[in-house]
Amino acid sequence: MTMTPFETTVASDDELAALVARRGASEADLRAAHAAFERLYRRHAHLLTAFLRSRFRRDGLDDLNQDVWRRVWDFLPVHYHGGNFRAWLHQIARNALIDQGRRKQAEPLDGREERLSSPNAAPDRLLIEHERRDALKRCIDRLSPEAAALVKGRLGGENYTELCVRLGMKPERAHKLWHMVKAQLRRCVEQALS
Amino acid sequence: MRLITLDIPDDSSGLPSWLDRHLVGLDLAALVAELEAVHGPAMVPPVSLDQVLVARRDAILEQGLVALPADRLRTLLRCPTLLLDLQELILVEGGPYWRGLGQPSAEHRDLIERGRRGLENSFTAKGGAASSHRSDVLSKATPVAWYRRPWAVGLATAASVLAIVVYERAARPVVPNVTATAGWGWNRPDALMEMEDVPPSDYLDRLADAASEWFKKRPENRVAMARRIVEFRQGCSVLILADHKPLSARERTWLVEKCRDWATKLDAHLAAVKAGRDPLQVRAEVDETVNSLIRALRDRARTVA
Repeated sequence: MTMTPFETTVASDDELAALVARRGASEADLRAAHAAFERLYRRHAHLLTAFLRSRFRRDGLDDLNQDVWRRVWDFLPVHYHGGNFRAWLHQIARNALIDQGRRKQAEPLDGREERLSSPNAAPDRLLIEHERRDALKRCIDRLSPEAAALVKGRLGGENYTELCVRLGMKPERAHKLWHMVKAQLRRCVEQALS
Repeated sequence: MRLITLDIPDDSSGLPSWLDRHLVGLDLAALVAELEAVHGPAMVPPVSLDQVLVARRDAILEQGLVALPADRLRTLLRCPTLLLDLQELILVEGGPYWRGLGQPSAEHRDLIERGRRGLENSFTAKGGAASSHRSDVLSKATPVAWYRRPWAVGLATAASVLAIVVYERAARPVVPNVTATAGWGWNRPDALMEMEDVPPSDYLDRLADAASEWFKKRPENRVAMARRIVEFRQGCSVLILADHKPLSARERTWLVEKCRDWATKLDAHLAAVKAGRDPLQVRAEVDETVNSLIRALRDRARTVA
């Protein structure tokens, strides 16, 4: 079976990286490098930004994302030797996060993030969203024991059948209670964080 | 404030794809925080990610969490920092499934687009730092905002290259939010994104080429037949939602309307399989539909050439 044009035009990460690395020879090479770089960005930005966002606060995310890709552009010609571009990109991103973490250590924590207290926690692991966590925890603590057990079971992946057996609850009751608890928690957390 | 965890699916069969979407979205930190509020923060998870994924690691990287047994899925929910480890693994080793996993949120698309514009601006800035290779590669130097750095001012000339581009397609990915992703035809991740600069006639021709991949497999039983039709039908959704940048507005309208017609026909073929019709007979009818759409695309390509 002959290959379709789709198959022939999909460049691998390493092929694109090679074009980026060859940018110094001529104007045409530079243009090709920019185009290749754009394609690498387009290909990997989705998962990379998800990774960065889950480890860094929202208001600094644009700068962090730019910093990562700036490093990729700067360092790729000399320090990427092919093989697994995504692994290399991940390493760059981790280093950028570590830098941010070190800067943060030099400043008082601003209430939006905290370092995981485990001694084994990686330096790029800042637990963000801890206000959300604490607020929700306080709200759950105010629930009745039955409602709290239902929340814990549902958010632990148990289905209604299992939960009803375990909690001795009728399915109709479980559904109704879950509905009420959701509304209650939403209100409670909103008030707590407003 | 939206509480992410309260949207957990009622039906536990929807749990894997729900988690999959959060693993590639912007809300994972919030999800982890909320799960910690429920189950308590585990400073050191009692199990490692490797222990949870054991023997299913490759399947998860290819197919998503649907490959993980329910009890181990629950472990991820109860030790939520493992989700961060899993996200990291997916970034490095995840297969095409993870890149084609539905449309990112508007916030996520905007973030990616702002990044693209930032790069574009850096390349358009005057100066010539295209060859600026810093020797402190991967160093832990304290970062300064990229646009304040000399390299940004210095990155040079060929700016227009990035101006041409593109990220809209990745920012608004073409794959709809479906649970299965089949990497062929119009449904192959990146397929359309790789054709951003081709002339309209080539674009339509390539769509026809991609459609012809239908004939690469010849399913003979009902299940395989239904699966193959569903995959092709997903490709139609991809085309309906895509930007089709190489095409004029008129051609885009034509293509999307055609796609809708083809989607309707494929739905009918699928219904026929489900209703118990002979799969080989249905296959012949799908062949006819596919040949017809290939002809339509080729004819249109000649018209716009």
